[in-house]
Amino acid sequence: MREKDLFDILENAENDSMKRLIDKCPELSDEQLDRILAMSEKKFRKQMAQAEGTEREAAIKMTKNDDVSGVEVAKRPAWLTPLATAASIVLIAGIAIGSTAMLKRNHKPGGGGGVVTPAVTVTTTSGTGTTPSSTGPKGSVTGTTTTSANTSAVTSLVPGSGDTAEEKAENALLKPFAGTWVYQASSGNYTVDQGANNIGTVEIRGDGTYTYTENSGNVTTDRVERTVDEIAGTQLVTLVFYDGTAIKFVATYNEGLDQLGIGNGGLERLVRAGSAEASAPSVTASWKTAYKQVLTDFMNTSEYSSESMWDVRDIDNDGVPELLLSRGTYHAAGVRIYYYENGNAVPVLADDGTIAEYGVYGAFMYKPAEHLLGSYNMHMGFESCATSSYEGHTITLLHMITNNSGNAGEEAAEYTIDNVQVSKEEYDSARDQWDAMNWIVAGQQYYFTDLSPLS
Amino acid sequence: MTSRELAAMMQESPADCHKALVKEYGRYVYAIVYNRLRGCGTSEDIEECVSDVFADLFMKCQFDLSSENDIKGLIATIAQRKSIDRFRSLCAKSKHISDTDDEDMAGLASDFSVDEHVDRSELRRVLLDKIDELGEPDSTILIQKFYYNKNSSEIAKYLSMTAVAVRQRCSRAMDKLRAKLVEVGIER
Repeated sequence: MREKDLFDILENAENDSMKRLIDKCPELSDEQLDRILAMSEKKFRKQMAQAEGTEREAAIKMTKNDDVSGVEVAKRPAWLTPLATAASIVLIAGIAIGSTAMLKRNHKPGGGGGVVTPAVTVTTTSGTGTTPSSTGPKGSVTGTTTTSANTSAVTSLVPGSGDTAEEKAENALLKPFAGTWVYQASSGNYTVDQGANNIGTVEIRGDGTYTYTENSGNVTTDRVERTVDEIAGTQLVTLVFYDGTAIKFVATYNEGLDQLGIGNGGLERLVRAGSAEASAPSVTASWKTAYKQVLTDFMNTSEYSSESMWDVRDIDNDGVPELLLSRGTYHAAGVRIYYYENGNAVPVLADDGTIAEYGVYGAFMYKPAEHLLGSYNMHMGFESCATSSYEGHTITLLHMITNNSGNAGEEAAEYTIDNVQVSKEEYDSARDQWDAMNWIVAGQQYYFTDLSPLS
Repeated sequence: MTSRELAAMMQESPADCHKALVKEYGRYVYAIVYNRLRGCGTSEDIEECVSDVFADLFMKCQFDLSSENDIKGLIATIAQRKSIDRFRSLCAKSKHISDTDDEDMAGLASDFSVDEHVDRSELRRVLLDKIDELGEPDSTILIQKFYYNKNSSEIAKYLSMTAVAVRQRCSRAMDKLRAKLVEVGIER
């Protein structure tokens, strides 16, 4: 009898035999348990939603013999339709005639037109557009579509200039904001008014320029523009801080508090230096603030789901951890890696310039001392173990071992190392080496509902 | 874990409670489901079914825990039922029965033989006894290798041995097991 056939007898075991088989069941890996938990939670949520729907339906007590009552029966007179049609025609004709008469009023007798020279140059735009409404210190902008009547008194200002009448007029409007402001960010999982850290200072000058000095030492000097947005009848004074052609951040003035709120989330603000609010602890803008911004931005994208998770691990052992962002816990979800450089969170890119993803089921493995990344994949009977290097913020595949025994069966299975077919013994030896590498699993330490580790 | 402990955990944090349940009983449920689906499902099917069991268990925790004292018994029951359902659906997918007439139904009904069932049950018991007689770690190696389909390196990691040693012990243990089975008249 073949070994496999012999052990097939153990299937469908009764309780006592089952107990003995359970005792010898191999431990499930953390990765496997995480996967099972994620799938279970998803199914559980679905069942809960169905149960709630059934409960609602069950609450409706009605039989097919019940009469529907309380519905008003409307009867319209037969002459109403032709009368309404005639009224519509009269209305349309009236509008057409009235419009023509109004247009003719602006024509001088004899058809003379002439050119009217404007006394003041004013740029007025009105319509529907995208207003930058959520920005962070790194210049990322999330658009919110609003219908607004936007009256902009100035088109552009060049630092150091201010010679034209328009620029002088605009600079006069900026005067109330001139002075030093403290840039504050929320110190935790709450809005900045609940707890703040000072992460830099912003000096706004009357000539339409500003200097933003981050605690980390980064300094940005460029132009600032004042605009007035009218949204739903309320006028909002907004300062747009530029960094070259890009917007660095946008701040909306709160007259009551004499503060400039940055973005819509209430996570950042500018307060006047010397005010009571400005006496918050001062922190250096660090990888934490940069990574927090990446996570906050990701939450506003369509890729974000309740299964998205994140992690911070120093995968290249350089003393500054990398941010690991997992879109989800399903098979095709890899992990995006961001590193911290010059005050910014920078994504690791693939060869085609898109953001690279490594691993499966929202996780991968790494060995920090050797700058190695690993990925284990088991799908449809195909098993693969990949080893890649992570050097200079680039992922390079080093080795890949595969087998298809789960699909083709043990006897017809093909084993490969780096795409070259090998014997089972050679495969087992390479696999033993891969297994013995003491990989650390990463990618799924925190849900997005908890960003406190970055505070 | 008792239902009272579980209810207390649920009250504190349902997410943590779910996590604790999977960690505590994941292996137990996996073994039960694996036993039923080993012959017809892939590893993905088995994991899928295990997650079904836990989803049902989470529902049970959400609504009704009062009547259950030993949570392990409840889990075993859910796992057995779910794995039988999944077994039927997998079998139905692989060999769909169509145009079933009365004669075929009679044939299907007589498929289950009590004698055969008893024989198989007895054979299973003897096989497990003989495997146990081999002692540790040989009995674990054989079960994990041939029943749970684990490779030598996985077993080696579980038993803190080298893969080469596992392969050698496995080969010798299999020879010993064959001899023991011949002694009791089992050879095919």
